[in-house]
Amino acid sequence: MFGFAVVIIIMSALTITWVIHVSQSKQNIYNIFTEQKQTRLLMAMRDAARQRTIYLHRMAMMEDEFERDDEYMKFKQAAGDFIKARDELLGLELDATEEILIWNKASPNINKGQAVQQAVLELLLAEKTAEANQLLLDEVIPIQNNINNILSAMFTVQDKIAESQYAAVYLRNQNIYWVALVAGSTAVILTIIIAFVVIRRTMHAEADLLEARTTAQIATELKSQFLANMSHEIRTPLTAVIGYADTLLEHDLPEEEREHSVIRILHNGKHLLRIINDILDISKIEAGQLAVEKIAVSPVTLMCDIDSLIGESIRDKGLAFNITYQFPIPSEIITDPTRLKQILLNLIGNAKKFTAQGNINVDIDFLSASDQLRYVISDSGVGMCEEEQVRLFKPFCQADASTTRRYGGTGLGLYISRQLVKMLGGELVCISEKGKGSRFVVTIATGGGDICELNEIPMLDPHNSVSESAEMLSVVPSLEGTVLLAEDLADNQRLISRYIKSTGASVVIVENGQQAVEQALANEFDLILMDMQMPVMGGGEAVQWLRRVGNLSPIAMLTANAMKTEKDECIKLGVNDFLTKPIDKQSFFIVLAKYLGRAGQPAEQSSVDMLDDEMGALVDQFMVSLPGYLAELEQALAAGDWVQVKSSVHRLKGLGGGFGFPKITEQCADAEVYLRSDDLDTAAAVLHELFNYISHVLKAYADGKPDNQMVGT
Amino acid sequence: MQKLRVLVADDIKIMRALLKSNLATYNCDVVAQVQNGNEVAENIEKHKPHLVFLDINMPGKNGLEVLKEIKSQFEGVFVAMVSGHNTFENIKQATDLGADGFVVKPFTSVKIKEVIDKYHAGKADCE
Repeated sequence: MFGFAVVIIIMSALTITWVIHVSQSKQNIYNIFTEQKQTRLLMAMRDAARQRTIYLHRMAMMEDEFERDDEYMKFKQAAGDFIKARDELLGLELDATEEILIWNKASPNINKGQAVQQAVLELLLAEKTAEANQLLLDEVIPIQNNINNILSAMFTVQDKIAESQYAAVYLRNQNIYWVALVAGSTAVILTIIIAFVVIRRTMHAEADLLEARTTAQIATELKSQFLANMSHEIRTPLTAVIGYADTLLEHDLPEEEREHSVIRILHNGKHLLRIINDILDISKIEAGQLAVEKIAVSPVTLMCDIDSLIGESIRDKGLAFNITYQFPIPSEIITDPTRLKQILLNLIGNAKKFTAQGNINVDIDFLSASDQLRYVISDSGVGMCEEEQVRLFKPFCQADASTTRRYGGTGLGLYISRQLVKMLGGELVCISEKGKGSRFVVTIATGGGDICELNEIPMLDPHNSVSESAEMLSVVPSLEGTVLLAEDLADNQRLISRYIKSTGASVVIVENGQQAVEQALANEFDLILMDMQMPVMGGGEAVQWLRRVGNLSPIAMLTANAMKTEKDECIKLGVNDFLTKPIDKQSFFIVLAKYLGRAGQPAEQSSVDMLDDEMGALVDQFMVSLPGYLAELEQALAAGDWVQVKSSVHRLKGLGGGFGFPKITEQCADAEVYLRSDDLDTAAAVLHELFNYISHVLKAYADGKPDNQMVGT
Repeated sequence: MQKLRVLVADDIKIMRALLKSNLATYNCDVVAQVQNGNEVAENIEKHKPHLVFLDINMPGKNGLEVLKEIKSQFEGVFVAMVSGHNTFENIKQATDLGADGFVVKPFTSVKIKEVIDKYHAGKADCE
């Protein structure tokens, strides 16, 4: 743009200079023309004066009267020419010098000459030829010479003036030539530069476009390759399932082989399920729909959970399993414990799979420089060469194609783990050597905040670890105080109030936000538990009302979808804490203990038993109301009332896990993801799966097998 | 710290006395007590209180009418309604008219403290 502006400015300057130059030149040319006219007139005057004298001479010589008259006529003609030229010359614009020359020098002589010529003429006409000749010689000729001289001088002057005018024009032309040359070449150079820049840019843009297209093509190719791999990976176990199922149809199959077929079908079916779950995880990660939670969790407790989940099976295989801490480490980190566990279980599970003898070690230390926690999982297994390590993190690529046959696995675990580690703010790298075992290093962000350092392993009650499994026994704190519970669902009312009562605290239950406001203003509560979604008035609005009229009671929000933005919004409204539905007993008691006073004497052990006994009764009641929830959801789905579907799904999500059916909560959460992204077909498919599962649960319950603990896992 | 000047408007003598004794514990001076809704405005004019505890059921103008009057005539006066009717409708009505607090009768000293705390929090926000 700048270049164009410069060119435009130069062009305008050139045009202006040119216009000025042309007008100046016009003036100069006019001047030259005038001077030339003056010269021409002076020449005419000189010639006429000469001719006059010549004709006078001739008249003097003519004997014949007629011939003399003829010459006289010519003389008069020449005299006329002279006067005409003189008058014309005087009509021109003359400078002072010229005027003086003409009037002061030429004119007196001319007048004098005219007078003498007149006298000669009269003498001739009077036939006094001798006298006329004498006068001609004595007077006319000298005067004539004099006039000629003056006119010649004037002519010379005139010539010089014309020459200088011409020189001025020439000089000006010369100057304008140089200016035009410099400006013109500058403009040309600039134009070339601009053109060059524009062309280069265009080429760059084209190159970028080409690159983008190539990247897109590569991505598409990778995707197709992934799909091809995926269908292959799915088809293999499916073929086995169909094949073995087919053999079962043979009537004369020995019992031994029949059993073998069933086992193969089961084995391959499970493998297929793992693959599909992994693929679902991948698609969620890639679609950016995998939400990462931020929960404070103790690294030590988390490792205890891991140990309890996988440690025993490792030791059963005859391997040593050591967890070592390099103190100090943070006592708590803010991360997604579910995902972190998934990563560690995957890596430790791999180590177990590929190690026939020796040990598996997990070393944990804290990198204070980058605020990260580091897990090093090392084994004494088969190890990998470099090429195999490169293939390791690609989906569906295991170190060796024969690996699947020997060790099983989907080939997706490491890919998922690496993506998850990235989401947790760290990296996953592999260091390995063929035959010398492998080392996987995981770093994850500690999530900042106040880090209280831990210098030794705290005394941990193995039963006290935070775990999602509902059957894990929790220690019930002994508390006193009153809690206001605002919750519209009877099942959740019963469940949560049981939890509260088990601590020794008392509870007042209301069904919506308005009642909560009324109650909170009329009575004193140590804690208000407010459900987010309630009829008449939701929890958020109720909090607003309470804070507006000056109620300062602590409020914990019960929410089934704890999105960070929503949480921030609630904190702004004046919410003090959050509890995720379905209620996790341990976190529930932690929040409760934070706001309620501790009772003077420790909780009686019986309260734990009481809670467990009552759980059975609560589950019974839940089972009574479950068909109602199911029917409501089925009706809404059949009627295509998606608003109602969303609200019903949300409600079920908040209930399931609390009564020992985490799968209900999981499936509802899945359905919510699809509902939110308006992928209604998939949502409906997930919901049908949910219906089947609930029907199965109800049937199992009706058959007198309330084995909810088992079906949840 | 400067003592807060408080006006108490309630037609029942024992309520006024209860409020006064509660307020005294929280560094408040009850500068005026009125028992009729019509007298509130002139007493605010006269005593310039920081806080007004306003009963809703009173002879003369009722509490809500007085609240409207206060909010339109006096800027920055903090008004806490006092009422035995804690229906949400009542609370909403008062809050919509600009009430800064709502104390339900019978109240405990904690509720009075909450109102005073909210007054101080609001002041802190302004500064």
